[in-house]
Amino acid sequence: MRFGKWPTQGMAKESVVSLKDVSFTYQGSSKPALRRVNLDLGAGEFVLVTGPSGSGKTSLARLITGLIPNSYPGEISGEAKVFGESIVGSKVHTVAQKAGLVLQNPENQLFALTVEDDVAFGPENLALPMDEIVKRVDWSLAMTGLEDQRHRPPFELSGGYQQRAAIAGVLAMKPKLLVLDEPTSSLDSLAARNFVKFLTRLCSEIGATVLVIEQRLELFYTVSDRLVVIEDGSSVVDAPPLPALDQCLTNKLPVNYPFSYLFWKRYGSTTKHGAKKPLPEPSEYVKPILQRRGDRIDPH
Amino acid sequence: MSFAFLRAYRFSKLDTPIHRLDPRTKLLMSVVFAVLGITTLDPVEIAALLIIQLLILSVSKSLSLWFRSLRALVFFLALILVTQALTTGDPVQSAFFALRFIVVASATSWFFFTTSPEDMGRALEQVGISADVALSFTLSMRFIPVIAEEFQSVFDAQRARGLETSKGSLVDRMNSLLPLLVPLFVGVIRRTYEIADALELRGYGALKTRTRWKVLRFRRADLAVVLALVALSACALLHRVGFPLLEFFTLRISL
Amino acid sequence: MTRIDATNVHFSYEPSSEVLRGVSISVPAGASMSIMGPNGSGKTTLVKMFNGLLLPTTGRVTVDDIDTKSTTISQLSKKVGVIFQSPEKNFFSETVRDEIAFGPKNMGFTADEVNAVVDDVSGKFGLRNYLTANPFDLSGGEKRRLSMASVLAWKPDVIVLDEPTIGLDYQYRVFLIDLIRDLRKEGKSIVTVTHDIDFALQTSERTALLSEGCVVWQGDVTSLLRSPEAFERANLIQTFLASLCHDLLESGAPERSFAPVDVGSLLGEV
Repeated sequence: MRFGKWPTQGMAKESVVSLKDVSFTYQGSSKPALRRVNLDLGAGEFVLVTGPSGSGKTSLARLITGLIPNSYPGEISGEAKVFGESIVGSKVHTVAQKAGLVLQNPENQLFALTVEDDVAFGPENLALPMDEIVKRVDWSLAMTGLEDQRHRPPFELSGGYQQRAAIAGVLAMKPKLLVLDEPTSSLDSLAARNFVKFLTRLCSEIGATVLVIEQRLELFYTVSDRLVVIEDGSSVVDAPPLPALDQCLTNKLPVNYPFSYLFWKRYGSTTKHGAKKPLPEPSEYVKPILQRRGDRIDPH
Repeated sequence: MSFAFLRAYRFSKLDTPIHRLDPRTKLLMSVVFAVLGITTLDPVEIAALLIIQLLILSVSKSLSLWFRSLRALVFFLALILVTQALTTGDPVQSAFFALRFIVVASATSWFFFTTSPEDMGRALEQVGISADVALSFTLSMRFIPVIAEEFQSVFDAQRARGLETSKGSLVDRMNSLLPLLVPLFVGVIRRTYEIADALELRGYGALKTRTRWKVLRFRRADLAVVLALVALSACALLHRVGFPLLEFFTLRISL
Repeated sequence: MTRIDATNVHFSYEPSSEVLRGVSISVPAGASMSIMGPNGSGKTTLVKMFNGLLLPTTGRVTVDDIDTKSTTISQLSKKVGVIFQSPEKNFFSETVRDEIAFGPKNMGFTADEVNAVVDDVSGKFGLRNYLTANPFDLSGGEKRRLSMASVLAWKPDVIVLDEPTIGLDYQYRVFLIDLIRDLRKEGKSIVTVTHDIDFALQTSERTALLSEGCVVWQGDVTSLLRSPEAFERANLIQTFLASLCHDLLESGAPERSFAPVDVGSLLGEV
């Protein structure tokens, strides 16, 4: 559980993403999709991004991974750097080897007729030598636990496995930053919880920096270093999860407040996140629960 | 609505000599059989072609699959027989045309039964077709079941809003297609945009050449088959030209 | 008031695999019900039986005691309106008005009746100013409201929502919960099919848990909250909300606070 254990002092961490006042309007659109967005990601961070539909989260993901402005022409301003190099002018496939994007619908990212052929697709496009391709395919399949599925067609895979196959395909490009756009939207609650475990384990094993766009905050907020809320194309909140949710609550932002967060906010100890007002006296029904569960901010 | 017809020519993973052949060889076989079938007027040739095809199908253990796929041809067969009956009334000629139709239509059957879709794509690529076209082919194969499912969803949803597709005049029925086709097309087009993005993110089209991690290899068995095809075509050619030795087997059909 | 009964329903798409294995379930008139289960448990297949899209291989499904095998999908849809996932993907009309009018027209409403319901429903869903707009030009939220309006236009007695919570954001979630509450006030039956337990707890009084084609639990939400082992049997997770409600009920909190669960009052009063 991380809850923002991001060390701020000491060694300078490599800057993975650096967005300074970035604005972007799609060609042919009158409204900017991104409005003076500021975002900094350091190496190894696990950042959760949320916000209402249409607020610019997907545009943000496209920006970080180079689709904007290279595939999606439009007006861009501000400074956007990934791993120290500007996005503007970089080719998509160059950025893709640094920042990988797993789109919302895994089905549309699986092209080949078997899983292993699909994982090989990226390296094939990069014209890598044959033995390197084989190594990467084996590695990606091992990392995502898909060795048994390697000969199966994507259509036959369950939602969870399709999701992993899409990730395996992106991993074969060997990015150091992984951006996932609503990865659990097609998964049921059990599969989603397993996915979170899978993702956190994967990212610590490969040492990747992760940015996850999600609506289901309750799944991710305990494993994230920071929570960023995007509204109307700008990041309005950017802090470790608990303070971030506090800010959202104060500003009445439309995010899916995890119920565990709301409960502990009301009945948890004052010391946990510096609540200034005295908390209301718990009712007779809640008291025994608090006694049993203790004062932990453990959501489960 | 069952989509069983999509399964008519479906690949089944077995290990037979035919399965092991290079898909390009099988493609060539299909072409040769189809061409020979279309260009002949001789029932003996047709019978020979049919027998060889049946042999190939039995070696590849796909006879029952092929038999089932014939169901899709029943309508056309009936059409041929009826037309023949109306124009000439000659039972031999009718049988000939019906058989010829079966031979030509089946010429590609074993290709689809014994070649995995991914090998088909590879075959296209290595035969010299551009990577873009080969990819379009593979993507189409890959997404056919997905689109079929999408169509089913749209069909269900619109019927749940009271859409009737089998009632009323012809005009009514045409109109009832709009609520089905518009969402389907919009969905497919939207999907292609997403696929295009995903392709870019995996570096497609970035470099002039791409490596192929699995290459089809032409083996001795393939060479043998190609030689056999050449021999077969030679026989057929000689037979038609009227080489004396083979005239004994000739039965001409008058048109 | 319409009731739906499914008795010992078996169904297979393909002869080799059974999707529903002897499901018996009842949706009483005016019920607010949820059908919960993981993906692949057969939930969507089951609700397709309610309006005749699918017919049971064995067993029977009756809507107001009429066997679904003896009538048509359009007849059944008049009483049972099913809203599938991503309904905004089914738009095809040139105007919002036409899109809303599609259902009622198919159901045999006269021109006057159609105009009346379009007016009524577009007002309820804030679409009155958009009647001549192209559905494809609407914003995400407006599209979702339009898809709801299109099905509610012919005022079916039973409304079935198939996985309404997929990919939804906070605002839409609130909109749905409010909508369900309003529909309940009108006396409609609501059946929500979902794997989102918290949403089901907040919107239904009765529930059935489906797993691998079988009903593993059926009854009141409050009873389910008291017996959390049922979640595991259905391959579902007992969420924080569910476990909290369990603890509260065990400590003697009054049951009326839990059917359905009202998060606001749960945090306030209790």
